[in-house]
Amino acid sequence: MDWQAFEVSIKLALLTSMSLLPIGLAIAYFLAKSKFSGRGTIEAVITLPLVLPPTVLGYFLLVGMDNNSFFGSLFVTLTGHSLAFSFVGLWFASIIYSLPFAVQPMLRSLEQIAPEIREAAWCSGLSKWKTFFKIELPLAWPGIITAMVLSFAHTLGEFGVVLMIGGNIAGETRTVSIAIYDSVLAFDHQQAQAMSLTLLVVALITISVVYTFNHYRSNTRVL
Amino acid sequence: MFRYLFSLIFVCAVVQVQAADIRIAAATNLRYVLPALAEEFEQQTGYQLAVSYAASGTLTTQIQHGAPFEVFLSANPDYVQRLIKAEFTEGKVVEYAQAQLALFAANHSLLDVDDSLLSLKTALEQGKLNKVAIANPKYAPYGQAARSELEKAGIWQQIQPHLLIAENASQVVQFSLSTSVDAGFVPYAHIIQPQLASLGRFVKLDVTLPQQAVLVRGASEYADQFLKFVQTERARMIFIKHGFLVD
Amino acid sequence: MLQVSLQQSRPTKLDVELRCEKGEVLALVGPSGAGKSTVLRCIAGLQSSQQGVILCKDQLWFDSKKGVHQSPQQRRVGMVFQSYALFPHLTVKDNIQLALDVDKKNHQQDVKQLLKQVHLGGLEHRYPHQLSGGQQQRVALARALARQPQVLLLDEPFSAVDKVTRRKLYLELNTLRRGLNMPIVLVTHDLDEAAMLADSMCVIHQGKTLQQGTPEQVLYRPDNVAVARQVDVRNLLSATLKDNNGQLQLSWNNYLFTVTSSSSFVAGQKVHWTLSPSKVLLHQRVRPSRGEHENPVTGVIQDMVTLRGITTVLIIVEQSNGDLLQMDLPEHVAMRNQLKVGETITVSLLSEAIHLMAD
Repeated sequence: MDWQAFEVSIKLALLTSMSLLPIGLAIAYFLAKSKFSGRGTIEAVITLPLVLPPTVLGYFLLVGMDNNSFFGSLFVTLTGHSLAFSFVGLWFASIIYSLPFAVQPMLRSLEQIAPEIREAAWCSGLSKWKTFFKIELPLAWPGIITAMVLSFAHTLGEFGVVLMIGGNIAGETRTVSIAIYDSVLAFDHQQAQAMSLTLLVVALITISVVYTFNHYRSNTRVL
Repeated sequence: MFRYLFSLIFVCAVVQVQAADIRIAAATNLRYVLPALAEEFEQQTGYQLAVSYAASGTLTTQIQHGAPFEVFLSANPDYVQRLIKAEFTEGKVVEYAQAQLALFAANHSLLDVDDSLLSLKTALEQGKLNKVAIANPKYAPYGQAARSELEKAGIWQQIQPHLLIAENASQVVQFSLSTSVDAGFVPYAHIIQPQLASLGRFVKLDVTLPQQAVLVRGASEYADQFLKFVQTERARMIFIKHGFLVD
Repeated sequence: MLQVSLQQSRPTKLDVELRCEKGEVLALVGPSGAGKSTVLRCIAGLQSSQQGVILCKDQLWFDSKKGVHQSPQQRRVGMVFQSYALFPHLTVKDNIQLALDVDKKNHQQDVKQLLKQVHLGGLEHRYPHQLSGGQQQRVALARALARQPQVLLLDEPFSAVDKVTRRKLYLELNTLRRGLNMPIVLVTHDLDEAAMLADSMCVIHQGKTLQQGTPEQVLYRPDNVAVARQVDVRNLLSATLKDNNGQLQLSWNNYLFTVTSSSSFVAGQKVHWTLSPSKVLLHQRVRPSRGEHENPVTGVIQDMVTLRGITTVLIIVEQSNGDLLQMDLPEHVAMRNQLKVGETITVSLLSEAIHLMAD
C-alpha cells in the first residue's frame, strides 16, 4: 500500500480545489455579469479541458511548462527548479484541468440570482463588494460547494494528464492513480485492489460529508 | 473481480484487425523494425501482418483475457513465462534477437554521454544534475536494464531523486526532449532512427535485453510461418540494421 | 423636489420630463413597455439615459453633459421592486438591518420602529419565503425607508398582490405617506390605483411624457387624444366647432352643443371632445331635473351593465353614424326609471364637463 501516493493525491486535490475557489469564482462572476458577445467564446475555452483528451492537454502542458517557456523560465528564476515534472507543475496542470468543473456550477448558481436582488442591495446602500460578500456569495454557496467538491474529486481521479506530465516521482508526482496503474502493469493485483478500494472509500466519504453538510446548512429558497 | 475490470479496460485497447492478416502483439521497441520485416514477409509469402504495439505487460494481460493475437513478440522474458504458465501459448519460445539500451541526451542538455556513465556520475556528485528519464524499472525491461546499468555504476541510490519514471520506453524519449531533463535511457532501436538521432547525442550501453517470440494458443499455421521467418537470414539482417543484436 | 429630464434615441426612445415635490405622490402611468420602469431605474441610478439631468433638492444626481452619474448608493434612494427583491437568505430583521448598518449607527430600536410603521411587528425572525405577498411588500417598503431616503420609488408594488390585499395596502400607503417628507414616485399601469393614490399623474407612452397633472386634469381633461387614449377616456368623439353669434359651439352630427371652455379654439376647427359618463344626465321620467334643456341628446339604449351599484348605459345616438355615448348613473335611478334595452331615452350633456382637444 503506497500511502505516500495517497498523500500526494490528496494534497494535490486539496490544493487544486482551494485554488479554484478564488480563481473559479472570479471567472464565473465575470462571465455571469458580462453581456458582451464574446462571452460564449470564453465559456467555450474554459470548457475545453472537459472535451480535450488528456493526451492533447498533456502535450500542451509539457510545452507550456518547459524551461524555455514563459511560465517555465519564470519558475526557474524564482525557485531554481524546473516547473515540469514537479508537484507545483502538477498543481498548475490540475487547476487548468479541473477549471471547467469549478466554473460551471459556480456560474450557474450566480446566474440564478435575480438581478433585482443585487440592485436592491445597491439601493439599500451596499457597495458592490459588500453586495458580493453579503448577498451574492451566500446565495451562490450551494453551487460553490458543488464546484469545490467536483474539482476535488476530479483531481483525485486524474490519470491521463499525470501520466503524461508527472514523471511518476515518488512523493511528488506519483499519485494514487499512477500507483494503481503501476501495480497492475507489474501484475501486483493485490496492491492494485487495495489502493483502488481505499481511494474509492476516501472519495466517497469526502464527497458525502460535504454534500450532507451543505444540505443541512441550507434552509433558504432562492427567488 | 478487479482483474476483470482492469482487463476489460486493457482489452478495449486492442486495435481492429483486417481479415487474412496475421495478428501480432508486439512490444513497442519493435515499432521501427517490424514494418520492414512485414514488408519482406509479405513479399515472400503474400501474407500481411496486423500489428498492435503496446507495453509487453499490457499485451500479456490482453492475451490472458482472450485478445485475438496469434504471435507475441515480447521485450520481457518474464511475461512470456507468465503466459506459458497460464497455458496461453503453443510450441517453443524463440529468442530471435537482443535489444540494446542507449543513453541519450537531447541537444539542450549539457551532459556528455559515455557508456560508463561517468559524466552522469560527475554531474550527480557536483549537484548539477537535473532529471534523468528511465522506463519503469518495476515492469518495463528497458527500465530494468537502465537500473542494472546505474547499479553497475554505483549511483542507483543517489540518483533516485532525479529519476523521471516513464510509463513505457517511448515516453522516455519524449521526456528526454524536455528542457528539464538532462538524459534518458532509451531503446537503441529507437534512437538510431534518423528523425530522433538528430535531436541529440547518444551512446550504446553494454547491456542486452533478450527479445522472445512465442505463438499464442490457437494461432493459425500462417503465424507459425512468421515465427520461422523471424529466424531467417534475411530477417536477421533487418534486425541488425535496426539496432538489434543477433547471435 | 425631484426634477427629471431624460432623452435617448437608442436602444429605446426616451423623452421624459417630470417633477415631483416633497411629500407628493407622482404616479407614472402608461402601457407595458412604455418606459415607466426605465425612468424609475434612471432615477434610482441603476441605468442612465444618453442625455438628461436628474436633480434632487439641490443635489445633481445625473448630468450627461457634465459627466455626472451618481451611483444608487450615493443617491440614497429607497426603491421597492416589483418582485420585492428581498434577500431570501436573511430574516426580515436582517433584511432591514443590512440597509441600516450602512450608515453605522446603533439601530436595534429602529428596525422595530420601521416594522411598526408598516404594520409588521413581531415578524422579525421570519424568512421571506415564510411571508405572504402583502407582508413581503411591507418588508420591502421598510427596507427602502431604512436609510431615510431622499426619494421613494415604487415599481408596480401592488401588481403581485390580490385585489383585497391591494385595497388594504392602498389605505396603508396613504396613511404612511403623510408622515414621509420626500417625493414619492409610483409606477403603475392601473389607472384607478393612480387616481386613488397620486397627487400628480404623468402619462408616458413609447418613452415620451404626454402630460403631467393632477388625476382630475389627466383623466378628465387630457391635453390631447394621445393622452385620452392612454387614460382610457370613455366617450371620445370628434366634431367641429361652429360660430354661433360670436360664441363657439360644438357641432356634432345634427346637434349643437354649448361648451364653456373653448378659449384656445377657433371656428371651423376640427376637434376631439370627451365627456365623463357621470356627467351625462338622464332626463328622468319620474322626477324631472332642472338641467333638462342643457345639450339634449336622444338615442336608443343598446346595452346596460351594472357594477357595484353603478349602471353604465350605452346609448346609440339617433341621427348619427352609430355613435355611442356612455352614461353612468346609480343603479337605483336606472331601476326607478325602468330603463330597458331598446328603449329610446333623452339625456343632457353638461356643457361645463365637455372637454375639447385639438385634433
